[in-house]
Amino acid sequence: MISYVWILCGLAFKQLTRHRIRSLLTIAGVSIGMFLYASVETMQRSLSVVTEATSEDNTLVVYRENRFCPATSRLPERYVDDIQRIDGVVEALPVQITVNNCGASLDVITFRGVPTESLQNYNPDLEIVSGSYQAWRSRSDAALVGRHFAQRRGLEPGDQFEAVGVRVWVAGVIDSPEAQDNNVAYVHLPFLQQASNVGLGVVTQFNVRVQSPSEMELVAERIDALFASDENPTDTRPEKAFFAQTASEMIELVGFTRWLGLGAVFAVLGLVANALLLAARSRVMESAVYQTIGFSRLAVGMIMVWEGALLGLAGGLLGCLSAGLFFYWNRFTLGNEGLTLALTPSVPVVIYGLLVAILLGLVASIWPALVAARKPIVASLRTS
Amino acid sequence: MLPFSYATRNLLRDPSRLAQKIGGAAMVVFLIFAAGAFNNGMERVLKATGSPQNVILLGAGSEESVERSEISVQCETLAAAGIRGIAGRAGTLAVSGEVHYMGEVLLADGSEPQALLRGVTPEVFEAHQEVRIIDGGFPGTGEVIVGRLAYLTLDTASEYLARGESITFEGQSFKVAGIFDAPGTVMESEIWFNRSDLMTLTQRENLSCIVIRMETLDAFANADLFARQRLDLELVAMRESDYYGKLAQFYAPIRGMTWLTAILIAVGAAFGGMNMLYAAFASRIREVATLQAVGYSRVSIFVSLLQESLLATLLGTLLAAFLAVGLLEGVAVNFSIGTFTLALTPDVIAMGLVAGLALGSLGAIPPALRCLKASLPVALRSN
Amino acid sequence: MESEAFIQCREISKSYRKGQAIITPLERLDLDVAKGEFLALMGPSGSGKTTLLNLIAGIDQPTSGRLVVGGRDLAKLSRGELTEWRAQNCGYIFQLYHLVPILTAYENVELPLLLNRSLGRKERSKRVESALELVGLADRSNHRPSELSGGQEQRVAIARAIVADPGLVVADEPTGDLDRDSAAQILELLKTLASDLGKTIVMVTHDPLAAEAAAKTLHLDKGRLSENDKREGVALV
Repeated sequence: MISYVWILCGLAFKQLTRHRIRSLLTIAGVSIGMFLYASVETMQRSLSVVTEATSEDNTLVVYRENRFCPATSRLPERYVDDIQRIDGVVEALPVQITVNNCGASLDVITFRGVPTESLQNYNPDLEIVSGSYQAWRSRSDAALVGRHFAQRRGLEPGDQFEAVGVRVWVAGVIDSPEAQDNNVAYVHLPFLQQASNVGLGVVTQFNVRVQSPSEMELVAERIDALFASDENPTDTRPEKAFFAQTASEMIELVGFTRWLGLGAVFAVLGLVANALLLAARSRVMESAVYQTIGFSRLAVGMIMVWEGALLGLAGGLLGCLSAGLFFYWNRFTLGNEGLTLALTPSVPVVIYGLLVAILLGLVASIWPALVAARKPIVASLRTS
Repeated sequence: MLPFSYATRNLLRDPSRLAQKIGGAAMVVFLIFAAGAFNNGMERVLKATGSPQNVILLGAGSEESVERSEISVQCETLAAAGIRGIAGRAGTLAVSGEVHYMGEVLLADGSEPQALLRGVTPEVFEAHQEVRIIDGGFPGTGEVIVGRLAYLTLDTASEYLARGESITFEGQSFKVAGIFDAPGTVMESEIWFNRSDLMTLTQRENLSCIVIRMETLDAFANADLFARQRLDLELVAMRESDYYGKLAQFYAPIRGMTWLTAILIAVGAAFGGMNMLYAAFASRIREVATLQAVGYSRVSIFVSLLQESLLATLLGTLLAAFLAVGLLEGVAVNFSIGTFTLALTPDVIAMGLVAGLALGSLGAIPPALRCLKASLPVALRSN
Repeated sequence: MESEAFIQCREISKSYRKGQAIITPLERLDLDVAKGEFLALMGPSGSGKTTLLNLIAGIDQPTSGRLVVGGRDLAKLSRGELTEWRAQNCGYIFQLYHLVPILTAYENVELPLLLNRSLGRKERSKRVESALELVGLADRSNHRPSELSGGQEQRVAIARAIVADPGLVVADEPTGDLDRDSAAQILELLKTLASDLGKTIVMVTHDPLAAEAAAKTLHLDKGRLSENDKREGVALV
């Protein structure tokens, strides 16, 4: 039985390879559709990684209540001592964030000012790719630049660059398992406080590491309760929830691309169905001859179904791989309200896209297969 | 030459295939219209918002975002005194110190959308001459005025922002004292507060920017000189049109993505269309050979095939144009800069037409050439 | 003698609807064809020859009557059974050859063998080469139909029709589209199939010269065989 199915597959393959132009046009169209689909899936997946909570999450973000843009969230730096004393808190890092624009865009520049001694302790997984911590510590205007940020701007240790009214010297390039870190430039806190005019003693937020992930909510409540009646009350949330609630414009944009993905799916369906219908209509006589020889109607239909699957496979492979490579080479980063989202390709997305393409090819082939197989032999033979 | 009716009758031979061709072309051209209208709308609202005759003074380093900018309140009086060539009316100089802020407001329908808030003084109408209050008056303490299209940005019904309604900001209630319009600008999406109210509630001591209307375009140089000389104030002077131009640049990648997507889908659909044309023309090889045998030249047959294809795609273009006017024109789109409407301007329409023409002509050339390529004896025997 | 007939038609009728009208190409027809016989069916256009041929070949079924071929009553078979029967028992030769254009001569001839799941690749190859050898086209096995002449295409079609060794071969105007010399070659081949390989051949033709190649000719007119001694299959002019 399996060999018979392979035989039909072989006949389908010959149909595709020997009708080169039709097949190439269809595959090209399918690959474009699947490129779009895979791109959308990449964006969706990148977003879900940073917004969907997992049981291992243990970072809270303390922000000024009712504020969204880093420019408007101002908290006294002294809060950090009170936060460190709270039960369940392992470590708190004051962070000043300066960003060129709060709106959602692909061209966001973000500086993060942190206390010099704290960075390495807080982010032990931070790896220096080039340059050194020493160099960073030695200059007040030094910056440790995330890998993707450096790639985008063509920065290397020793370079100087200016943005957002801040002029820095690149002390090193860093790589971190945290996607956010790879898209920002870490500078010294006092330096950024002065350069960005917020003044010493003021920060945008506190990043708090909690002892146990199960205690996140409790610790957040304790922090907010502590400062509730202060001049600058806080709003403390898990890092992922903070992202989801703050970068709303970016999330809306990425959410909108869902429609694009759906459109791409329909486009692929339409293209394959169109190509196969054309084939079915031009092969009325051929289908009748197959049946005359002794191929069943099911077999004749199966040849068409295999053609659909093969077209989906070829177009899907081309499109999804291209999308993966596109995102791999270009390192796109979406920014919004001081938060960055790295659009990272992944193997599961490519494989998933491929499976979707094959499935679409199969579904698209059903009607053409029926058209090819259903017409009675005698009527088909009379057609000329 | 073959009569035009040959082309039209061939088209009508297979109604379902004709429908497919028209539908496919309509979809491609509609996409071009949509992408063009989106880009145009965004660009136009940014262009219209910034006047070249206005100067915007921002905090140094904040040229890309007025929300981040901070300048001291004293700058307002200093600028009014120190810059020559400022426009004015009846003794009032067109110098508007403003606070720009993005925050959540609580509406009467219970929703808490993020809104663009601007703290202003009465001078704002001198600096921004396109703004008019169309209902009510300038907001006093505890009051706001609302842009005509703000309800779209806030995704609520216009009744909840009508005159007399209330909104809540930072726990305080504000009454809507008036509605203003500023056609084609982002200001129409904003809520304007009395400046001191907004500064108090956001705990700000500083302004975001100062907008100054100059008497002439050349007078900008005076404002620029002021900013450069007064290093202590840490100011930067820009033409308002340049500021919004830069903002437009900031969104260029997003706009680029929109175009890229539209073009990709159009190309994909074009491939499908070409497939159909290949099949359609291939089935007529014998017919085309017969015409040649009768005495028609290849050129005349080629022209006829092209006519067929163009007719179908132009019908599709027409359909797309109707759909675009019905579904796209005037539709409001929300973005961080504010709300803008999709605009089917003459150049967008021209773009769609060109796309339709290109689809009909370029898409038909390879299949038509293939159809005419075969030698007569072979073609006459084909089935 | 009824029991010896390879093909037995008893009171065969075939009707179908065409728009509002009912067309009856065949009406209560009786026919016997012996095993190994080469029969030509002649008659004017619309006489029902092709309809009868299609019934005998199992690609259509009679509206009423009994049709036994090689001991199987085809009228009683389901569609699936008929398909299987055709694969094993009947080869069809068309006027316009109807080779699959994207397959080579070899692949076209191999098609019926692909349905026999017990045959391995080597065995299939042997049979295909043998069939192509028989029709004199062993050196053209890699050519596609577009690279062959009309006569060569029909010979490939014949090879395809016999490669699975069916007992029955039906041919619908096999020489209708060929020049005189090619036609003669085809008819010679058909004669060989009947005489040397014992195939029963039923051929529909317009051409009296083609009919001469057959051992027996019957005349159909308006769905009926002519009155003269149908059962003995006496030829009529």
